[in-house]
Amino acid sequence: MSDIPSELFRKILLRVPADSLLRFSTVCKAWRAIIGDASFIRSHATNQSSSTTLVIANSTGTRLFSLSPDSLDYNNDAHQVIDVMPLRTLYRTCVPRLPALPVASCNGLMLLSHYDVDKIWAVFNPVMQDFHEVSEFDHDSRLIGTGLGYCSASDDYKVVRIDEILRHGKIVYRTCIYSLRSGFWKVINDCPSDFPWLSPGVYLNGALYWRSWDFVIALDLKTENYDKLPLPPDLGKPFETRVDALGGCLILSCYYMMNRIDGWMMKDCEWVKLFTFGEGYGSGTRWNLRPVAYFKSKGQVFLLHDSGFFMLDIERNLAKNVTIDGLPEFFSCQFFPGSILPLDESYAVEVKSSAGTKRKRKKKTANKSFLRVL
Amino acid sequence: MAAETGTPTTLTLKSNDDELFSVAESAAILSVTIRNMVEDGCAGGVIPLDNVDGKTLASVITYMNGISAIPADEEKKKSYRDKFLSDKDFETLADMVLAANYLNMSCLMDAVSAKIAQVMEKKSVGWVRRKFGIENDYTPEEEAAVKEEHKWTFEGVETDDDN
Repeated sequence: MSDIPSELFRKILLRVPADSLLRFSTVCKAWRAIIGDASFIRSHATNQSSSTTLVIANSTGTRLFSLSPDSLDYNNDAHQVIDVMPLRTLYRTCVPRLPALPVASCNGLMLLSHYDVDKIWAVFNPVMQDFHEVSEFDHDSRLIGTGLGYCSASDDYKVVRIDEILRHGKIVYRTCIYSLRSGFWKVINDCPSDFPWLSPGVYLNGALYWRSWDFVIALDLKTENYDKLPLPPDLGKPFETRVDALGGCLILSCYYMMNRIDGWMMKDCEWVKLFTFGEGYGSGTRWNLRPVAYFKSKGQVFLLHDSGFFMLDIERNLAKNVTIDGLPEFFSCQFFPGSILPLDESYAVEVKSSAGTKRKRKKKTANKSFLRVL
Repeated sequence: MAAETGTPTTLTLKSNDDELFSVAESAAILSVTIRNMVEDGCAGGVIPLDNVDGKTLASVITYMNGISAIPADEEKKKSYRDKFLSDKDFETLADMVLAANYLNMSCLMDAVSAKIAQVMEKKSVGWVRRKFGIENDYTPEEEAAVKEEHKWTFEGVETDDDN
């Protein structure tokens, strides 16, 4: 079977999850060359069909676990509880402490951002255990929004921060973008609104989205312009809403009294009702429902609540409890597609050769200083 | 192309071990390789497929018939593909990826690649080498050094057996 040409191996390896890819570098020299190739790494990271895992962090953010969504499958109606595979300890990580999930993330990179002024921001790839320290910023402001996204036109990852500041006696929402390629911050147009709470932006197809008061704010990472998306009409009076990027779709969740949650999906620039859930489930206490995954081909939504998970079959409007073995008592989680994007010196080398400009890069020593302040 | 009227055109495909298969042209032209032959007028007699054996070709034709019977609904096609591939062993999948590549069937190619990747995910390096017949061209020192770079990815891997 060694007659499989390397182009076919490349196609297969593009579908292999990130941590397995790193392991398969040891198969042979040809595979190491395929896996280490910059265009392969880029295609793998931006390929939405590459497998995602549920990443679960314990309450102190010192341990990460991963769970394959395949193990969440169920078809048997007789059972109300699904036991999934025990959690796999993931990335015995070099990060002493992660913030609670979800964090802003894009193509296997996480943004570790902090409200506190004395903590350094970093972009983190948990699979590669690489950091890119984001250069410091003047902190005379109030942080209201963060984000991490990818611009394919410039093949660049961009960190976004939105701060409420006073300019000429007026409150404005200043937006700054940090380019991982250039290593610099720049100020772009002000954000047209503030947000109900400090929110990580949601990345989907070249844009970042935040839930604002009466609309969803979108930031196109190529043009760096803002747009306002109206909410669905006749929403009633949800007491809370949120946006998520799930299953390649923008999902708006609206929370109502009596534990009801409505999910809307953005389809062809219009909101389409995806699911209604909650009435008849749970006991009247609020259980902090949050959709964490949408399995489009199966028509299922995976929801997190206070003490566990529900899997909702949309068509039948039927939900089941999902029990996960070995779950920490307190945890946070998010679905996360792994990537093997390098962030350390090798990224800097690529930056240098492709951009052709000389710039100051922080090397491994910077990582250490980041670890110290965490 | 096929005549627009009358009974559907049937093609005869021949595997490299001389098995003959009849398949509706409308299903067979999912393969760009076959479609090109049909368009070039080579489909009058038997279409020889020199790189595909009979066992694999039978599987591919089952797939062609199954997928072309499904109306244009990408979700339904995807679930058909998942079901079609669910009971295939690794050797069959490897043969099919070569066949799909030779026949230029991108939808089958993508699905089989994804399935192979899924099977490989938790497997050891030794398993992958053995199944693909890949020779380890590292010296022990080199291999240890490469392994050391990402040693955390060797945790939680299935034991090195043949399954």
